[in-house]
Amino acid sequence: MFNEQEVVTRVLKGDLRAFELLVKQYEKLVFYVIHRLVKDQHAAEDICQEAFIKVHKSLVRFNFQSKLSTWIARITYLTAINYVRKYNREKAPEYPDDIENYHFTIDTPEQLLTKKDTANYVEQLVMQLPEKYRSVLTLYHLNEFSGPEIAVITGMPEGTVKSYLFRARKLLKEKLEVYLKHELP
Amino acid sequence: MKELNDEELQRMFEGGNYSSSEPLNDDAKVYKTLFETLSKEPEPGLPYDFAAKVTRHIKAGQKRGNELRSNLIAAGLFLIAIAAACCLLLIYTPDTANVLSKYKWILLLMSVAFIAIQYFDQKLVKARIFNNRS
Repeated sequence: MFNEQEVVTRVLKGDLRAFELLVKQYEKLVFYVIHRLVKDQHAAEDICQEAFIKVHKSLVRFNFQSKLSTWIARITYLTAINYVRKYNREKAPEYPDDIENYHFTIDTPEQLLTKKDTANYVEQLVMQLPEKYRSVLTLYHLNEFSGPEIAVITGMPEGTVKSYLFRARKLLKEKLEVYLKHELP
Repeated sequence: MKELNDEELQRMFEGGNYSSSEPLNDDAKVYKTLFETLSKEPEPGLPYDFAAKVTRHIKAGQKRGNELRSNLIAAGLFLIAIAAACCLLLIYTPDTANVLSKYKWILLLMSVAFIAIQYFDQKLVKARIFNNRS
């Protein structure tokens, strides 16, 4: 079983095998957060590596006041956000202030071809949401963090996190409802 | 199943407070599918040897840092040795002061060039030899 206190102590003593264990333990967490924010797979892998290097450098400042997973997720989230803002590779669309009025652009003929299954379709919808909504959905559903933990990771108030979660899921549900009506016999 | 609004439905699936035997209405079915889909792991993930790659990268960084520190220490010791040699020369043969003063820039340039040659020799030539061997 993974004992975070013991592993952190070993890493701080310079044990790189212990750090490898830590990476193995949290690589999924880090990848899920980055995968939803950075679309390019190769860039995503590089940012995962960058996030873990930052974790290694900053581990001396980790004081066990929060869970190690929350602390790593915060470093990962900030690394990914910095990357997205610095390189602006995604050419993020202008999002309306009121997300309920957001229009997905998934119904072009090319994109209709890729609607192979529901999971693919939902993934495409999620990737079109503003980055804060994407992060909150990922942290909640894939990384299984609670509302207060997501608030710590993203720096948003807990109420905002809950509101983003609710609005994003309602929006996705409305689109999925239409999709399922057309797809299912 | 009684009619629930979006907020209640989301709360129900968040907490898993529903019985699989209970028939779900259309809205609940869509939310159920959505929650299941959102929890699916993305593919592809990270390569199998990702953890090893990260530790190799950190090890290489630490090695570079140690080498830089050693090189700086060596360069510092070399300059101290040169300075000490000049001091001893001035103490035992004061006449050489004029010579040292005349050629001070050449001596300094030679010292810097010696350090630079040692640095590039280690950085380029020896590194290439080791790379070819491995």
